[in-house]
This record gives sequence, C-alpha cells and structure tokens, in this order.
Amino acid sequence: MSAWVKGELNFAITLPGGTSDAEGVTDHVPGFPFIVESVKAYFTVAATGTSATRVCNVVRTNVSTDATVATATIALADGDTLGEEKAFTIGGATEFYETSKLSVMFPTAGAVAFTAGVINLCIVYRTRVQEIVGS
Amino acid sequence: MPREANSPGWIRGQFNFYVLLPTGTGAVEFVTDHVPGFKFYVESVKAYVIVAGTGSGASRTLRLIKTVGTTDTTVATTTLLLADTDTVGKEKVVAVTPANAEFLDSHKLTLDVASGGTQFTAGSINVCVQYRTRAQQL
Repeated sequence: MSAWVKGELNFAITLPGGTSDAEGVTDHVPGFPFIVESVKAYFTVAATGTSATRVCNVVRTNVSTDATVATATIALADGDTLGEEKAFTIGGATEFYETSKLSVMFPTAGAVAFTAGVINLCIVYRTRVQEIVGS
Repeated sequence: MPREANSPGWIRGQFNFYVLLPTGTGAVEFVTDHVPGFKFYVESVKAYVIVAGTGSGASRTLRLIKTVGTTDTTVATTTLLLADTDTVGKEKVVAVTPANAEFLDSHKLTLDVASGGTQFTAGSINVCVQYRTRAQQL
C-alpha cells in the first residue's frame, strides 16, 4: 500500500447577492482520486448584508447524483472581519474518483442576502501517488 | 494524524489565495491561522496582479506568517509597491526565509499586511505559495 499525499484546492468565491440558488464553482473535475479531509473558508472581502446567512455546500457529482461533501451556514458574523475562518462540517461523501465533479453551491433555502463578501475556500485532501497510464 | 511516510522524493503543491489590497494603512489579515495539517516546506511565494493597483505612492508590507503555539515567525515578506501592481498579471516575488519555511502538522499559516506604509485605493492579487512535502501515512 503506497503512502498518502496531502494537498489543497483553493477557490476564491464571491458570496452571491440575492437569495436564489447560486454556484461558486460548477462541475470542476480535478481528474484524480482523493479524499476530502477538511474544508475551511477565509474571508478576503468582509461580508455585509443585514442578518445575511447562506448555506454553502461543497458537492460531489458522480454521473448525475449529487452528494454533500461538506456544508456550512455562513452568517454575517462569520465574515465581518478579514481573514476570519469558517470551518465546514464534513459529510459522508468525501471520496472523489477521476470523473467526479466538484461544485460549490448556495441553495436558496433559508437564505438572507449578502450584499458583499468574498471567501477563500481551502479544501484539504489526501491522495495517493499516481502513475500516468500509457507512459 | 498525518505523518510522513518513509518514501523517497518530494511532492510539490501550491496554496493559492485571492487577496484584495486593503485601503487604509492598518494591519489586515487575509487568512488567519489556517492549519493545512501536514508537514511541508515553503519554497517560494509569488503574487500575481488580478486587478491593477491604484493609490499615489502606495506601499504595503505583505507577509506570510507561521504561528507555533503563540509565537509568530515571518516565513516570507515583501514590500508591495504601486509599481509592482500597475499591470494585470505582473509577478511580485515575496522573499522566503528558508530557515523559517518548515511547517509541521499543527502549525498555523497567516497571510497579512503589516500596519504602516501608504494605502492602496484599489487592486487585488493572487498569492501563490509553492511548497514541497513528502508522502504521508495515516
């Protein structure tokens, strides 16, 4: 059994205005198998919006089936200071395959609009050493 | 509890952080106490302009900091000038101190600008932190 390699996926995501469904990343295919270990957001633009709150889900799509990798309810107080950390709760669908898609979604349920705010989303994963087929 | 495996060779990776250059001259943290949770060495830190900077005579000290317990150590730093940010895509090297570049499992990573200098009135950068690590065993 080979050893593990750790790494990070980083996405800068603007918190959506309004309360509609929104996606910060849609169907990104990293193209290698990995297991998500943690997801954290750091505010790079402070959040505004009276009583703002949005659910943020990291979602894995295998073929056409979505499963939640990690979720957090981001409230105004979580992002009123630059650099502030918001930890996500890891779900059960942490394993990605070569063809799995990764999305970051803001569902409409329970939404109160942000009027500003940008997060750096840090997804720590572990993977194994890869070999390139055919080389 | 990640640990380095007994394997040869290094693996390289990057952390990428989007940073909006702050107005004013106060200290601002863009990433506070991020714990990647594995051992690595910072090899280089570079910033690339996304939105061109503005602000007459703008100058801020950009730092990558390691926190061990409650002790902060500067891993990389540069003085970011208006001229460094006047063109989209321009690169600014953030000088790394190799002696401070090792992160262990529990170490915290912070990206900030120190107080002082002259403010930017606009601009944003991508900060690319390249590291090397070894394979891990759980």
